[in-house]
Amino acid sequence: MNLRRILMGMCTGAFAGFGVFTIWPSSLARWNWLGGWLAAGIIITTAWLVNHYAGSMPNKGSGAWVDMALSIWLSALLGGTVVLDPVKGLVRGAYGLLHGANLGGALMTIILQLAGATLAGYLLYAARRSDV
Amino acid sequence: MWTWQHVLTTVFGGLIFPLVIGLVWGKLADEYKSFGGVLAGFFIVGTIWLLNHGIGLMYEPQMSGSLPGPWSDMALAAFWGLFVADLMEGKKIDWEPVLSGILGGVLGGLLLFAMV
Repeated sequence: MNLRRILMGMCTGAFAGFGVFTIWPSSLARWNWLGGWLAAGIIITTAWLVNHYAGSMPNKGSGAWVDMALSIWLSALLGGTVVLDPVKGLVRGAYGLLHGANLGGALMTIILQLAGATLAGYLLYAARRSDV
Repeated sequence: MWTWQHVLTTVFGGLIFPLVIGLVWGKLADEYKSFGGVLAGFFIVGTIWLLNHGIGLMYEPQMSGSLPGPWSDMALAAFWGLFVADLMEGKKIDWEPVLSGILGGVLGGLLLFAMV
C-alpha cells in the first residue's frame, strides 16, 4: 500500500467523476444527443490520459484491472449530476445518495448492469484464452 | 415499472460496453498511443453512451419524478466487466487501485454534492 499513489489516484478519479457528471449533462442540454457524443470525447479522453495513459490510477500488471469507471459510477451515485443549462444556468440534474436519494430506486438497474457486465467479462476471458 | 423488455435491454447495455472496451481500447492505444485514447473516447464511449443512455438501453425508472436519482451510470458495467474478466483469468485483487477508485468516487460525489 503506497498512500501517496492512492491519494493521487483518488484526486484524478474524482476529476473523472466530477468532470463526467458536469460536462456530460451540460453538453447534452446544449447540443442534444450530439452533445452527449461529444462529451465522451471531451472528458473521457482527458480522464483516460491522466488515469490510465499516464497511469495515475495505480494498476499493476499482476492485479485485476481497476478502471477509472469505478470512480465515475460512484460519483454520480453519491453526488448526482450538475447541468449548466443554456437558459437556466447551473442547476441540479439528479440527486445522489448524499442528498438522501433512495438506493432502492436504482437497485434493479445496478443488478442488471452487473449481470450484463459479468457476461461480457466471461466473453472477454474466453476470447483472450483462445487468442493464445 | 420493470418489464422483461427493460430487463433485456439493460442487460445487453451492460454487456456491450465492457465488451467493446475490452476488445478495442487496448488495440487503439497500442497502435496510436495517446491519440488512441481520443479515438476511443469518441467512438467507444461516445457511441455506446448514445445507445445506453442517449437512446436508453439501460432503464433507469428512478430518474422520473420530482427528485430524480440516484443515477447508476454505465460506467459500473465498464469497471465490473473488465475486473471480472481479469479475475477469471486468475489475476488477484489489488487493493491499491480499488481503494483509489472508491475514494475517487467519494471525493467526486462530494464535489458534485457541493456544486449546486
